[in-house]
Amino acid sequence: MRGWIAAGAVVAAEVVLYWQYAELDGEFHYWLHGLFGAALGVAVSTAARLIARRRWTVTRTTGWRLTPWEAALLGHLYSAFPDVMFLVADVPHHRWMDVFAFHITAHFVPAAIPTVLVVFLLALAG
Amino acid sequence: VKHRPVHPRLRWLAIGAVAIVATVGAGIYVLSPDSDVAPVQGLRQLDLVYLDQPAPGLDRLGVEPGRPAVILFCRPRCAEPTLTGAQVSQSDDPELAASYALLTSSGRVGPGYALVDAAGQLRYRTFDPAPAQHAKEIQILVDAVTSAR
Repeated sequence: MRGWIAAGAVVAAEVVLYWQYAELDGEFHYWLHGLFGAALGVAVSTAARLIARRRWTVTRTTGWRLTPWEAALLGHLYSAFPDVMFLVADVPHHRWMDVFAFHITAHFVPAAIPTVLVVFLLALAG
Repeated sequence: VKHRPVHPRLRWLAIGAVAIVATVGAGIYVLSPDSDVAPVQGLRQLDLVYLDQPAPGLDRLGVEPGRPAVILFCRPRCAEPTLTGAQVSQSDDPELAASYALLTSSGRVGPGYALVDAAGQLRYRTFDPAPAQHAKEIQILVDAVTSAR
């Protein structure tokens, strides 16, 4: 049940984010930061789960862990945080915002959307 | 709370659905005309004031010195955004557009705009499909340039 609620909440949050970007004709930025951030979230979640299993088997005993959708949304929000600051607090971008999943540098990756899509699919398959 | 593992088949079904939605969504965007506005997507609405160099051709553009300016480059001419604290100028001259790196290799002028500060320094330029609809976005950058000097 929790998984379904989480999935619904993630879809709703992604729709809101997409709508916000589309208002500014910024769909490119939605896909770029969305896919890369989601890949990061899923990869970190997977790595944490593997480490926890190996060391303490925590996930099996405590019963609570992030679903891939929750991890993906958290990664997306982390990656897109500078855009949220821009939209909510009128803060323009700065170079230091690369700390948010290479938020600035990611724009200059050749064929950026196909590249981050492949990264995301690989993370998802992991 | 006790964790109940998701059935593997359901899990893979969900992962597959996410992969398909992401691929189809990103694919539709990449193939859409909207994705072709800028020759390099990094030059589109980056919202990072990253330039600091003399702005070329300000006299030809009718820009008054001492005030920030937003210079639109569009052909055909485009609607102008309503801004406070900045003058708005517009040009469809390919030569001037090229000097602001807002001319594509196919000869298209913009659409886009350049932001010049009160000292006549070019601080930002970007391709933008509809500057008039993005007045709030441009205003944030104007305010950043104004407060920085």
